[in-house]
Amino acid sequence: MHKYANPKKYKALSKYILTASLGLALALLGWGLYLALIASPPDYQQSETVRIMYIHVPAAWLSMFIYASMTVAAIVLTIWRHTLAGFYIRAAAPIGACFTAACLISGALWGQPTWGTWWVWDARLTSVLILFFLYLGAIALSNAYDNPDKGNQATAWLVIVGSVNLPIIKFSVDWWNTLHQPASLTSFSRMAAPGIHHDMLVPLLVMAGGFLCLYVVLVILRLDNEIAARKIHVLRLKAING
Amino acid sequence: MNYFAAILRRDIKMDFRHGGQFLFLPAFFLLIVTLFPLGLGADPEPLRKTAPGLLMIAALLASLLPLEKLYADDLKDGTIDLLLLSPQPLSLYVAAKTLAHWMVAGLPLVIVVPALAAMLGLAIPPTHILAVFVPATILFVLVGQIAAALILNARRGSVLLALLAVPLYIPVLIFGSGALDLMQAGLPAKGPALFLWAGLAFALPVTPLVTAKLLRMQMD
Repeated sequence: MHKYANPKKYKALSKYILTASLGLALALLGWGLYLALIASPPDYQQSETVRIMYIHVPAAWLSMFIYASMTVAAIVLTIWRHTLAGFYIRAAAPIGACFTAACLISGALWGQPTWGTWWVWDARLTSVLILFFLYLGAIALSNAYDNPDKGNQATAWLVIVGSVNLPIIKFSVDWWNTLHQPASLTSFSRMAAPGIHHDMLVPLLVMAGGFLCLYVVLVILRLDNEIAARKIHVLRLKAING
Repeated sequence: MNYFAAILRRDIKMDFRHGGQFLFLPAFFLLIVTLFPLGLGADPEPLRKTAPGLLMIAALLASLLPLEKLYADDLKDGTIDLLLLSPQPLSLYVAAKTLAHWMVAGLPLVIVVPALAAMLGLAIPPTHILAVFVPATILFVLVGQIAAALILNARRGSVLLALLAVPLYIPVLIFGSGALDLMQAGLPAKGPALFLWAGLAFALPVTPLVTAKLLRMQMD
């Protein structure tokens, strides 16, 4: 792992990962969209609107996965001062925020026809919204420092504190919701007891795989940008200091 | 222990001599609470119903206000530099600082809360209100200081501080107003109140260590 703290060595590897995941992302998203929009059956209750699920659920999964991966990177950065881990947090946060926003927006668009409302203060929705704010905080903090290394370290600590807090927030929000509002609109039965039918599960998993590969592509592109931006920063400092 | 007491005394003294947050923060608290009847209407029934949440939100905002300067002044005048050179652990300084800050910025809110609760028509005995507001205000300081340490070298710190601290405050808000809600309804409220105390038991030893690490990080 430490070998790849050297950007050159990292780049030699990431080139191949980028090409592979780009190809995989295009293939999986193409196949997944075909399955999701055309081949899969409409839901017996929700009819065609269920197709929003194939965007909504993978986005929700990724929004959590990306925060978890940022936490790992934050721990790696704090313990080993692994340079690339700091770049990764910076690179991943805006993408994570976008997937979280995609989850919230697609959820609102799905809620309108099925629940009859754009938004409910349901525990799940609320905790995703709070996750979105945690992403915004990480983005804002990482950009607020003149010294990018210090910004990365501060953001890493914020991400760690956030990840300790996230289960507490999730738990408290669940508790809050069950206190104030009995489960009236929250019948998330689509994923629960009866399970999900094979014809819908396959496109969902294909889309999730496609989203994941898309994320890998985006994060590698952003990491390359971060490395280039750092090089410019160092060159400028050199030019000033002679 | 001398070290702890010295920092505690110094901070409280400095606050008294610098105009005293301990006076204007409760005033700010009262001001926010005054806004709610003005905005929502003077009808006592909805006010009484929403009073638990209103009080918690007002206390949250009033706790947010003085956080920015918590470590900024000590960083600027070199106090933290000197403390780093001393053999005493930095976390002890943070713990003393936290306690002093709560005494000048948290305790005054706790003292005025029963009066504000009465103004909003919240019918709960003051001891029960304190059982919620004491851990809640300490938690606001403990968690908030992490955010205060994070923004020390950052630009536009004050806006950032709110963005970082408020999401972390959410569990305190939920359990605090939840407990008050149950008390008002005459139901057993031990559960959520104990969650606050449990959160305090967790945050009390952990957050000073995290803040000390952050201060050290800001210094190198």
